[in-house]
Amino acid sequence: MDNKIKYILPVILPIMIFLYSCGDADLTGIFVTYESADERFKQSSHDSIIELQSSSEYYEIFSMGDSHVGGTNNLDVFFDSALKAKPIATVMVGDVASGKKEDFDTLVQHIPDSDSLRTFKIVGNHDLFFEGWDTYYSYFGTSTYIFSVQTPTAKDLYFCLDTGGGTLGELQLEWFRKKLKELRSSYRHCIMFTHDNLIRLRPTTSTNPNKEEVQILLDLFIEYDINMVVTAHDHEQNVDKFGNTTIIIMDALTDTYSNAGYLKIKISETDPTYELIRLNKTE
Amino acid sequence: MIYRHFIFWILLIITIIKAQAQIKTFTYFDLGETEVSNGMFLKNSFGCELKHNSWILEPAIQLDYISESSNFLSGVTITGGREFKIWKYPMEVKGFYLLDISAENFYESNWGAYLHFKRSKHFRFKLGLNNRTYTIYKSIREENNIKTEDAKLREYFNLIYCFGAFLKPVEHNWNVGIHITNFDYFLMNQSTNPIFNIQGKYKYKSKFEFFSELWYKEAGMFNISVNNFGYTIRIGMKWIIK
Repeated sequence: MDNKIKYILPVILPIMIFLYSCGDADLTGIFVTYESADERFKQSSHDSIIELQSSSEYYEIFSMGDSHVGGTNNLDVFFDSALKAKPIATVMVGDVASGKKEDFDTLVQHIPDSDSLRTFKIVGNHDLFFEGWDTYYSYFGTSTYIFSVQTPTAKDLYFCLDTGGGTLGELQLEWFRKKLKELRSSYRHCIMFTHDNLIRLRPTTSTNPNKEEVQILLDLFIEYDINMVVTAHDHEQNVDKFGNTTIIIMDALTDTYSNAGYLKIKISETDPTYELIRLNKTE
Repeated sequence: MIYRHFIFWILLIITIIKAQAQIKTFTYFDLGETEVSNGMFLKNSFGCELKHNSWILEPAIQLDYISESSNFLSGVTITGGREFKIWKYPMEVKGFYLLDISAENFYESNWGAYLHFKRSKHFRFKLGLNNRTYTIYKSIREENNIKTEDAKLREYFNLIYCFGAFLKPVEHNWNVGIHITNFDYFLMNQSTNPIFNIQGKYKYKSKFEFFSELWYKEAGMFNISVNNFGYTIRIGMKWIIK
């Protein structure tokens, strides 16, 4: 029996570690998914660009990730800050809820109406648990889209991409490439939002897309001069720069994280800048 | 830079041949498709294993015949190591350097080390660490006004592992096995992206070994939101020259 444990342990131990790290998880997702990245992409509405207007050259975008609703205290703080500061939009970069319908129902009650604050939502891996895509889709309709912001003298391009399943998938990647080729040269700044942190800026159990996919994305960031890539998933903030692209991993906003925070992106005529805000450091 | 590496290895190989090392060569073809390969890919690798007493040296290269990349030579690797025993249990320690030049605007270098535990007749276990650096080519930096300090992106202390189980004892003249791993000759995946393979091999007259492998890649398994990523069919042979 002891010898058998020595062989079984290397298999069981990693499974126990990532189960621990994943919290409230739908374990069927280890072996099979309810829908693939390609299927979600086909369902998503991504043909047109959502156009926003800014009356000034300077504007802000607030971004958060990993709210994991259930708990909504930090989410309320985030939206209260946004309603006071009036950014042009907010982006919720995945793991907005737990995948369970009741948590999506709660989430929707806490998002300000679109007349007060424009909010873009992206799916994360947790949102896909417990057949969560069906509920997410019924509320929000899409997880892949483009929005733009027109200022008096320039326009900026923003991509929201679905990496909830650990990959963009073939169709979404092809679409992303096509749109960059078609649109990038007509816009001043370009920022991409997606849930999975593409790069492991620290040893972590959170999963990135496969290395081949990361290589292709890094090539695209250089070729099309992407200014910023905003991600979440790893729960701990981290920033690095590769070429002219600033790669940001945000703090989780969940109530259970002591360093919960969000991101303020500042857009002007010069390169976009950012401020990572931790709730435990604000008044 | 790459050609200087080549010349160095060739000189090293010649030195080792002169020192009467054991020499094995191998070659294999990879045919497959992934979510990001934009259709099928076809790659070919060549390498050798040089062994002198307990010391091992394994250089290899990878060529892309059909792929997204415009680079024909897409990978270069060298692994050095030593066999030893702890108590009576055979092991190997290996250090490696892998250069991936399949991307257009940057190259990827990996270096690290792993232990290969060989105690069991039917199982193999490798465990180690990898460090990865993406570096933008100088010409691309100049073209895009990229500062030198922004030219590199690093991932440190990535766990690498391989668990293998074989039907017959590992050194049997034919065998079937399964593996879960996150690395291969020319691929160092993140620790949370395992790859699975089934392999078969047959040794002919103690000089030749033919092998075939089917690799399956997933994405997002450790996100507990798995997605198919791709597959590779590998066919190859090893030849014991000396």
